[in-house]
Amino acid sequence: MILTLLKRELKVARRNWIGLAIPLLFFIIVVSLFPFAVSPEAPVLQQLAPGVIWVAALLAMLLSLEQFYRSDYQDGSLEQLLLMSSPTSVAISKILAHWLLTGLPLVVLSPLLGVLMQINHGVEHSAHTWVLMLSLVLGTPTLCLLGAVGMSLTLAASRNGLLVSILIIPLYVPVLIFGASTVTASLENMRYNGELAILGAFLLIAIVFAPFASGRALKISVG
Amino acid sequence: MSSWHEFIFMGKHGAFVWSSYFMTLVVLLGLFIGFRMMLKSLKKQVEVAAVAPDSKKQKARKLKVSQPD
Amino acid sequence: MANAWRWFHQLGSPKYLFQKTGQWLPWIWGATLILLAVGLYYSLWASPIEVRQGQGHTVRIMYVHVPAAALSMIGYIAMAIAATVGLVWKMKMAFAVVRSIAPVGAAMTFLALFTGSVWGKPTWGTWWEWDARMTSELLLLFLYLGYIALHASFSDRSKADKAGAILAIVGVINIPIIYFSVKWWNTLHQGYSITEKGALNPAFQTPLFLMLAGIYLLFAALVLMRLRAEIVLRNQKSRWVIEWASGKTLERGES
Repeated sequence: MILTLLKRELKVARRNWIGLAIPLLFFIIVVSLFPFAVSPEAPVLQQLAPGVIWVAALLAMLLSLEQFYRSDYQDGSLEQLLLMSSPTSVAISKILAHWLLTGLPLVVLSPLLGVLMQINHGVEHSAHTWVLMLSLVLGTPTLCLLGAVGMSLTLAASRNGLLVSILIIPLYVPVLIFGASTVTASLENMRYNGELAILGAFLLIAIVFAPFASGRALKISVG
Repeated sequence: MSSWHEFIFMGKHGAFVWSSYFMTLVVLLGLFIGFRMMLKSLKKQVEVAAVAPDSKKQKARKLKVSQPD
Repeated sequence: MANAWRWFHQLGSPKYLFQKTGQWLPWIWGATLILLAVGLYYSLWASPIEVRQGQGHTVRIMYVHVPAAALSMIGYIAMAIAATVGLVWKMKMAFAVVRSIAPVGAAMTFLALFTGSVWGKPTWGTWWEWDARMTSELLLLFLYLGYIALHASFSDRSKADKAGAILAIVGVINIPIIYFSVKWWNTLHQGYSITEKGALNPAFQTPLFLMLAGIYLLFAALVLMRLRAEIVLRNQKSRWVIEWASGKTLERGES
């Protein structure tokens, strides 16, 4: 059931590949602003790297949310999907598609940004890049799940766009804190297992609540 | 508290203490007045709608019937 | 039990709720004003200054700061409870309660931040510290404003109610997570609270508890005022609202 829905999401997304590429481009461009704004010196950039990359990833996830929901809502296909299958499974398929098409590419692109932000400055063969990727692997699905709730709630609202950011960003703060501090801990040669475990715990909590809440919200928006 | 002077100047922290209490007063009084005015203006609206000429009321009634809920 | 259940159901009727709150409000206001008058007398005049930590007169800010901070949290939890009642029992008046708590709760959150900041300047030497409580309080303010913004963005009130209710519930699940995350992130705090044994001199307790009680009641009174306006707003076409507004009984069949 969810697999069929997911296939449909991916098929719809394929037609809109430019829309999917734009948040990723945004991710890279925003990060590349920091050397201009702060300093191109490697130690400074390295210190900023975890926060900057994580904030950029968070914003890219927020920006990409819209296209997985908006057009389906506007052309009525969301209503049909909800008639055919349970709201929770519709929500799950959208969350999965969002992660596969935005979260996963962000994870894949993050080593590049690590290079831009001099994350490996002063060390040979460091694990920092892997830690960055790992933190994003555990953190971005939570961002997808929470974002899905916010997006589903605002679908029927008259003004949207920025509204969803206002609702969701306070809820993103814990993920941001632990995501960025995982990488910071690694940069400072400290243990980061605890931070990763907490990111995992957030993910589990979000998996339990968010698909259901998002499904209910989709139903309210359509009904 | 030993004197009016002390009451007003609060040691050297009069500005801090009094601005806290003053802001609390302003915000809560603002809510009070705002809510009161909201209820009053709603009451007026309902009243105006109720004493409106019959023809208009008839229309409103029809509209209301045609609405679901 | 059966009586309590029936009463709960009656509260779901806008007319009953409007009439009852109208009866309660004068009493609540009376008690509020008495408590606040005595509370202010104690908190601004008849209580000693803080000596041990060298806060001096600034300890008086605590008597508004602590109630505001407590109510900012309680208000959001109350919103989530009312939202759950509304969603589970499909009780429309519960949504009106959620909407009525929001502005008062947001105001309390703002006051907690403002007084906290004004307290922080003489005590810590800074207007703003990114410590756990102030940061959580700031995020709580964003949650309140988010709810108000979301509710205001729908043309269909029933959708606005339900969407807002879900947001309130999601928010309340997140409050402890946000709080502990922020606390972990920065454990710097003054460690001054009523629950901490020995931290609070009994001389400070009288004004604090009086102000707590007074501001709690004031909160309830403001929420009920907002609720009454909300009930009228939602039932403008009802016969009883027209009767109340125009001050006369309508003949049967009219309106």
